[in-house]
Amino acid sequence: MIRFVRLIDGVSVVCAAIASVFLLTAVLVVTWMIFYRAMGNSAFWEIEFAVYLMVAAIFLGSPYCAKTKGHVAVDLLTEFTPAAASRAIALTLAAVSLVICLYLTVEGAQLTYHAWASGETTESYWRPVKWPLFISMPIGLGLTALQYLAEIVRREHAS
Amino acid sequence: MSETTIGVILLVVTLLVLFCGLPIAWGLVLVSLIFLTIFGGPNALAVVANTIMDELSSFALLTIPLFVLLGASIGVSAAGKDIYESLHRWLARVPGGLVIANILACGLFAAVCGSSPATAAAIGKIGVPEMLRRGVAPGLATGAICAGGTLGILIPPSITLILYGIATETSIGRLFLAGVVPGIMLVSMFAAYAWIASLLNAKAVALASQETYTLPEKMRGMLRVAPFLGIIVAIAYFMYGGLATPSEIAAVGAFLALVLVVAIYRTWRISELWLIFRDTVRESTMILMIIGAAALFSYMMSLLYVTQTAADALVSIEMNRWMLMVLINLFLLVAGCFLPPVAIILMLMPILNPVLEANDFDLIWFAIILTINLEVGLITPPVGLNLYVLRGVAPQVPLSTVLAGSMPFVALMFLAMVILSIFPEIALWFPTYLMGPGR
Repeated sequence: MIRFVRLIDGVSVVCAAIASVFLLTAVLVVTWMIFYRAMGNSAFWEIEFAVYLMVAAIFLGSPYCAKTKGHVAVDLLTEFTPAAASRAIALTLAAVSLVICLYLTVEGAQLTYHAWASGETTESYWRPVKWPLFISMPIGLGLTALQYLAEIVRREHAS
Repeated sequence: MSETTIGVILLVVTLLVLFCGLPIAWGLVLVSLIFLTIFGGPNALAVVANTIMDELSSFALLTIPLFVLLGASIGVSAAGKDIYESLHRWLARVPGGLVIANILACGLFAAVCGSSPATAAAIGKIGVPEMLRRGVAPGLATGAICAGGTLGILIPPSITLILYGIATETSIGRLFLAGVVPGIMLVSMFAAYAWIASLLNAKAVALASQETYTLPEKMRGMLRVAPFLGIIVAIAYFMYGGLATPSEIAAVGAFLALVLVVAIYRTWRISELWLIFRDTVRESTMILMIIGAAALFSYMMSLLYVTQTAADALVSIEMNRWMLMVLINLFLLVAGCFLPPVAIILMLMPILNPVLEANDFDLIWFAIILTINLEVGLITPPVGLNLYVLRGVAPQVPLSTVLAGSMPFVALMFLAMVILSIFPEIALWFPTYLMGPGR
């Protein structure tokens, strides 16, 4: 089981690294666009491409965010409950988070499938297909769900 | 069931779910799903993923990760230390000079950073140990950083103001400009307080007169800060010259900051760059997940007519408009103690927007009032993010001391809100001067 936890932790870090590369690429693309445009050329794909990269980056960053407790929460309850109770609460919260992420993964997968099957594109001049934008949601949140599962396993293993 | 009843149940359920400690993003999704399932009719759940995706795939939102990246690059580098050191050299002989140097450094750092905890962390991690080492009262030292950090979301760029602009369809450039003068005003008020508090303290006066720096030493300090100031000037030039949109400026700013930390501070090892990007990804994801979830939440509120009902009820209240403003601020203050500014703005502005317009309040002016108000929530328990930062940089100072030290600064923030209410021009003249009247 502990190998599963390590594997998921590793995957989360790799995803965060990919997200970093995406963000850096977005920075470079937009910066390049401004200078390209300043030279009198017209830009048409850069903005949309940067948005695709950003959306992918934040969903891919989500498992790492979950791993490092980066998703902000109002943790009042656990501060005022005895240790045993707050362990139970933490376990429940991880389980609920897991279910929510799983639900969004399924919804995101359906959205992606429909966009892929219908060949849906955006309405811009560039008209890229939309499924690569959508697919980051089921991938990112699916891995986030796995990260919560890993948290539960970690806690069970520790106690 | 009437919309009012649904609204009340929604408020109670939302508070309960969030107070359980579920991450805010997932909590908002959970509440939305519950209410859409029960009250939304058979097809209400069909658009869940689409609503979140529609909200997130916006060029305006790209500003957020890019400004976070800009702040993180400079935060990881030694730039914070340099700004702080050079200011300290100039202020060494002033009573409380060290504290004032910290506050000014927070103000300057805020001009490249859009987040409050990030500002507090960048300056605090060098400033607080240094102040404590040199015998500044722990309350004043930590309070100054706690409060100084909040300048991050008032002085542009500001993630809070970006979201406000998106939520209320006001110009982000105009909002940024409106934050400049009130930001400078708040920095001056904080610095004046630090000066007076130190004057009254004999130990602080003795501390100040010990050190002297020669003019060349002072100038050398300035030189190291110059490239950093260059980024601020570049951002201002691009933005207020109308050459680029906020998202484009954020990209250029992040690019310049990365070049700066690689070229000048020699931060080019992958392990060091990873620190910058790791923090950026983590914070951006946190903010944008809340934004996506809040979009779903707003969709749900609007579908169930809760937004409209609440706004109508507030508009129809027969009350002096300033009384209403005080009530709105009290509500925001309480909300701000529990929820981060991001969530509050996206959940409440759809309701407050028509109320403000019906009562003839300027939306740009209100953005600044709201930002200062939400800043207070960042330095008060239970969810004061800046307090956690301070706990990280100065674990030996008890939270009660930090809080007691922050209180005079909180009082100054309230005073600033009152001053801004009496003289709205403080916020409004600069954007009007540069961009003409409008929103």
